[in-house]
Amino acid sequence: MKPLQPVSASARVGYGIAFFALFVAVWSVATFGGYVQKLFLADPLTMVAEGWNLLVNHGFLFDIGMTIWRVLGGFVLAVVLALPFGILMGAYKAVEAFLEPFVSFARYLPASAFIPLLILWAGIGETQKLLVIFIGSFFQLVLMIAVAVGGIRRDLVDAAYTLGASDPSVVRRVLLPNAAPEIAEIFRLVLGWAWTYVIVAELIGSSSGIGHMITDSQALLNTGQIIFGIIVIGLIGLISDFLFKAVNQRLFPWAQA
Amino acid sequence: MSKLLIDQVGKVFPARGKGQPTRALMPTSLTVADNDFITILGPSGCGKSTLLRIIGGLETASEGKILLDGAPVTGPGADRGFVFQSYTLFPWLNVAQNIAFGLREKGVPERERLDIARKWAERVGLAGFVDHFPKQLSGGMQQRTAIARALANDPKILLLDEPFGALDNQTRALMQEMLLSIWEREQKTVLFVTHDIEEAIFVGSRVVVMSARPGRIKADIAVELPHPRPYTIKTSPEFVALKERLVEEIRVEAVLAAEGH
Repeated sequence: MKPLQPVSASARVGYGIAFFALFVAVWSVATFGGYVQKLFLADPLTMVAEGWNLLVNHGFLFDIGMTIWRVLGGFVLAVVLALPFGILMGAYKAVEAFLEPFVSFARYLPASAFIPLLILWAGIGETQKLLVIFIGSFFQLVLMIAVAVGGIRRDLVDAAYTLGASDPSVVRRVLLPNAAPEIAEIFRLVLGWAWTYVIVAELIGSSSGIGHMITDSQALLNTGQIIFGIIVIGLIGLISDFLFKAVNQRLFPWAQA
Repeated sequence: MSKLLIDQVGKVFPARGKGQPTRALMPTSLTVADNDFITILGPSGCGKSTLLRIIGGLETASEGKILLDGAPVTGPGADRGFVFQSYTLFPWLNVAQNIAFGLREKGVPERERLDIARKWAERVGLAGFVDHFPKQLSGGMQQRTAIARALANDPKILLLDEPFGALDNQTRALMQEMLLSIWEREQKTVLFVTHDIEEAIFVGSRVVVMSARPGRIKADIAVELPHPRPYTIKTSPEFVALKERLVEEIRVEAVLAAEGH
């Protein structure tokens, strides 16, 4: 194989599917072949059967819906507040100097460690779940958006000024459109992280959601259900990733390589 | 009458760390007449781009003043069009929108803006490319768009900072002809910075030669070649004689610059 040599689109899809097949194959050999006890790891067929059972008899679709709503709710909240902060920090160095040290510190505060505190403050209702995701996403978003907005080529800004642009115009008509594709990419990335926070939030003090189902299944030693839940999360992540990429390509044709 | 007056303008870059402050430009004076086409010629690092950027308002002068139509220059503005050596089209705008960028800033209504943009796209030979994004254009086409974008604003003076420096020789020659024909038709005041001697003579009415760093003007030579100038003029005896003279002037400076580093 030559380094960096491109592969055809069909070969790409083929390779991608091949790894999934390999993964399931290894899993099957380990479980059906009796190398791993059923108690610790369910085989693929049991997993599918348990998943079907969950969907049909235990209203798992409702849990999935709850989890998706929590992720989106917390994420949208974080985006709405992070955008103005990120843009101001990226565009104005004084705002950056004022906020950057604190935000850099806050981004390392683990969202999951806030759960006990948030339960104390907001109870075990939906507000607490949204807040976990908000804390996990907001500070990351602010910093990354600021970097995207501030990372413009100086000569593009110079060109805008020589064309008579005012200071607000430079932010609105140059810095923002320049950073837009990267900001969309940041949303895609941080939404992926938000998924990990929501499950943690649901593992503790929750009566619905995928994470809740997983804790219940652990009590019953039902590894098939646990694995099914994990795979569902992975699938939703894959779908949202795919949608984001498609939308970004439509929105920003000029930025595609 | 004088359009642009450069009066004892100099530039010293402040010291970095423990180093000495660097003087890029000695106090320099230059008077530019209306509709003049002046080329500023010098070796790399002679401060010619610094001078142009000061006129454009992108750098501040350490001393001296600049008057455009009698009014002092304090910062960048739409009255001075600027074309950069690097490709500076806005990648998210198509050719027409790029050309109309400054007009939108002035509040020109959309339809009128696009009419003017189309007209300018046509003049620089890009009529069929108004809907293209910059990444779909060659380097030469991008620079033609950049020139159209600066001129669509109807600036009092056009400043060009080695605009064809990154282009191959053939494209560069075509671009020089295009720029010259626009100037012959539109009658604009133009300041054109270059390190290419032939380019400086071919497009300019006056060649200002700058010395090695710190930059100052060491010669100011009128180019007495008739207009319109076909590309064949580059082989005429007058052209060749002028080129020989400038090669000599520049060579001395290039040697000095090389020894200084």
